[in-house]
Amino acid sequence: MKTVYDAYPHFWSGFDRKELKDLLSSVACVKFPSEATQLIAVKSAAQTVIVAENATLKQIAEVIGLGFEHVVQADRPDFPQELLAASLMAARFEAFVHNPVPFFFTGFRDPAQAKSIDANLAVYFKGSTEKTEIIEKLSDFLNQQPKLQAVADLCIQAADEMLANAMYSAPTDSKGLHLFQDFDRSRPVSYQPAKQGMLFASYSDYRVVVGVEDPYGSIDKAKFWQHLTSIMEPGAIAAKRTAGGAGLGIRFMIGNSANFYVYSDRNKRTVFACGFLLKGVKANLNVNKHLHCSFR
Amino acid sequence: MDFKCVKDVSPLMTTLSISGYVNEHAKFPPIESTTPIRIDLKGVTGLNSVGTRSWLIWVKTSLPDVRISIVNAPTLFVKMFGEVQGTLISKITVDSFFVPFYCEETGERRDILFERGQQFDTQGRLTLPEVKDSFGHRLDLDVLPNFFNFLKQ
Repeated sequence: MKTVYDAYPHFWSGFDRKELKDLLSSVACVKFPSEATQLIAVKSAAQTVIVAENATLKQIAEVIGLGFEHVVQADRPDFPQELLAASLMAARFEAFVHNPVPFFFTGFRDPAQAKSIDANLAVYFKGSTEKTEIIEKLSDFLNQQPKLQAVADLCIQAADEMLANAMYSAPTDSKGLHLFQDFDRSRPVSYQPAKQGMLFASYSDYRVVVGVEDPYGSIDKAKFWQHLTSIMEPGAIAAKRTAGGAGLGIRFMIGNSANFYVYSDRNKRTVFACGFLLKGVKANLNVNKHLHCSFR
Repeated sequence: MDFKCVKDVSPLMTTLSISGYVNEHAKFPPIESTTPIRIDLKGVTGLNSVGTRSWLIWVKTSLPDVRISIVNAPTLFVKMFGEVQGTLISKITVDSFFVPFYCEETGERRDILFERGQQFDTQGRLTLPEVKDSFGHRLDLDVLPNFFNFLKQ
């Protein structure tokens, strides 16, 4: 089985190879479906990147169901960048612990430097009554230029779902019990006083990334996996009628965007993020999607 | 941005004008009417998953058995019709809806109103308009083919 470094050496020739070699050599990659038989031999699914070759969402869901956390689409122009992001999330997870925003969301700028550029937005929150105002700020951010406006409704819908997850599904008590998960979503809720969440957005020439970080890291990997595989079935899905959310949020996030990221640091924080290509609506809905789901 | 549903009753038709963000705060009212109902969605500014659920429960349980038409459906609503079961039921027809067009060169998007009898017919056949941006560039249809599937249901 090849490593990311060995499989795609030409991608890294412009970088400092010494710095990257250790990282990329520690992460395996398997082409899917052409090398699907190798999946059985994988020792650590979390340390292996799946390089999808025109795979359908349903096929990807099956791969994710086996425990693989990163599916990167080989046919996309941003394939090298996402391969690197997947490798970083798989092998250098600790590097994100102290970063307010993972740097690959800020166009590979240092997060501290990115803060000073108007291509970035960060809005902090403590409770659900702030959701409307946060969405209005995101809307203003996306109205800066036509290419952002063209995908604004997709971005806002995904951001709304990420905020709802962060405000209602994430908060837990000291025993790890979810506090608000089954609450009616119109009922106001707040974080404990010392905690705050953040919505961030950042755009480059070719994409905008919108994400939400919560300060709990409470997402259950097994339940998330099960939900993810169920909502990636082709065709229309059913809304949940029971208490709490409608069960459509993750589907809206993945469906609307070209790239989907979940990064969960147990009991510390969870980051959900979506990347949108600045090429209009269809380019995002129709593209083979990169999926990254890291849990520690 | 706040959700509103304003009812206007005439002898021949009841019109519900819905505006604002269709989210967890959206409260769709129960409707009693013996005349056809027209649901105007022109003022809708956004839609989330909980708003989607409220909508589908409303159309299933709170609308009377009369002819119901939707006009000025925003693109997110049309997308919802194809993504979420039960959001468009057989007693409802969509008489007009917005369709996004996009110019790769300038990045400009325009949402164009498609109306029954003009841009589409009862069989779901489309007549695509020529759309230009503010610089005179031609804009291309910016949806997947299945965007229009609801017209054939």
